[in-house]
Amino acid sequence: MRILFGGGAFAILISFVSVGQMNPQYDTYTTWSYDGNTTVTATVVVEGTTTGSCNGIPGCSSATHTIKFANQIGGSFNPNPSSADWITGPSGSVFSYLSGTHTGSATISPGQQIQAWEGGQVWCTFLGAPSFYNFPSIYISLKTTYGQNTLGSQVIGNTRFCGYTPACSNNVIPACGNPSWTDSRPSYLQCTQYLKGNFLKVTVGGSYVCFAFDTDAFGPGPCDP
Amino acid sequence: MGTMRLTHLLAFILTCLVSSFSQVDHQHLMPQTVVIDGRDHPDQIPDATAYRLFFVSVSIPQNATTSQKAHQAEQLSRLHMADGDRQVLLKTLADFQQKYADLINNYNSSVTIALARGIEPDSDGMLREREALVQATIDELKSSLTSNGLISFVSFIQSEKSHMKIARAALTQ
Repeated sequence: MRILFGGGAFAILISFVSVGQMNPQYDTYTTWSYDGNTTVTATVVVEGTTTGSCNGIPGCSSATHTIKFANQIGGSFNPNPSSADWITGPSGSVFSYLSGTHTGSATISPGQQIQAWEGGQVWCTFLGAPSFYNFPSIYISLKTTYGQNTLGSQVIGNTRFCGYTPACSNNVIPACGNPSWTDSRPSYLQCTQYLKGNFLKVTVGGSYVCFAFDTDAFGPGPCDP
Repeated sequence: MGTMRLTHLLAFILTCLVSSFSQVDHQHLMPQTVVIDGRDHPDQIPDATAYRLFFVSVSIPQNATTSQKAHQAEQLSRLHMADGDRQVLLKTLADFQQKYADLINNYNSSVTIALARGIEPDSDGMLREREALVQATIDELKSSLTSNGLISFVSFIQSEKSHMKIARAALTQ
């Protein structure tokens, strides 16, 4: 009897110390594109869900998650983002699967550098302010690099891929396209000897990436360092 | 002797019960969040996650606008794919987008039902299905793209990991 009672007490003990555990798991991806003219676009994806159990966690079962996108690109950059700089995405219970995509565009001119603030977060009514992500400032600029077709070409299917190395008349190390970049065109077009690479340079923190949009050229030209 | 031991055991258990109750009443719930930033640790972004985020970012709905289609074309131009490979990728993305939307909608409907019944949604099952769909999409591309197209695609995904972040939190009582 006493052992059974002891066993019963252990059972009660176990039930009181059973824990609820929620495991939010969200992912985000920010990428950039350029139309080759004047428009640069950021694409932000945020998605995920929460696994686990609300067991014993007060307020958990009624809490909601909301995806929000930071959206400042072009215009007057506000270093102190306000609520107006957030865009609300999908929302649901904490166990819902949320998937949201946001795009933000701006006009950019050669020689201009614009600052942007793009990213995504998940806001939880249970926890209040999010703790998942913070966003560094992003700097976007257009960079020109003239190139010469020193690397030949390769035809794959209906596409010809031409390899270029910098051909800078002002003898600088270009910001983009160094040591080389690849231009693609229909296979029936030969590679031009010279190319003007119009690059979109996106700098985040200490790293950057260049996106190339090319036009034919007649010789070397000035490159942007 | 046995009675004394059981008495002490019972006292211990009751003490634990009280302290547990106290912990339930006053314990602060602290989330422990781990964020992996692909900018610093691209190798820690799983391939399956990277493929999935890419698929979602470039997928457009069946009734996409001209602007959406143009934006998708801009994004895919970065892969430097031949026309044939690009068409394969577009078709595969369209299939993925539809199946992914259905998976999410069906799961979220089940969540509503489960919560109304006071039972836990099968979020682990959802994640397994998601991973299976992503893997099936990857397998389709591997079997349909040319060797050069596959090389372009895989290398692009790896380079995009530096623009991804994953966050995993644990909130316990």
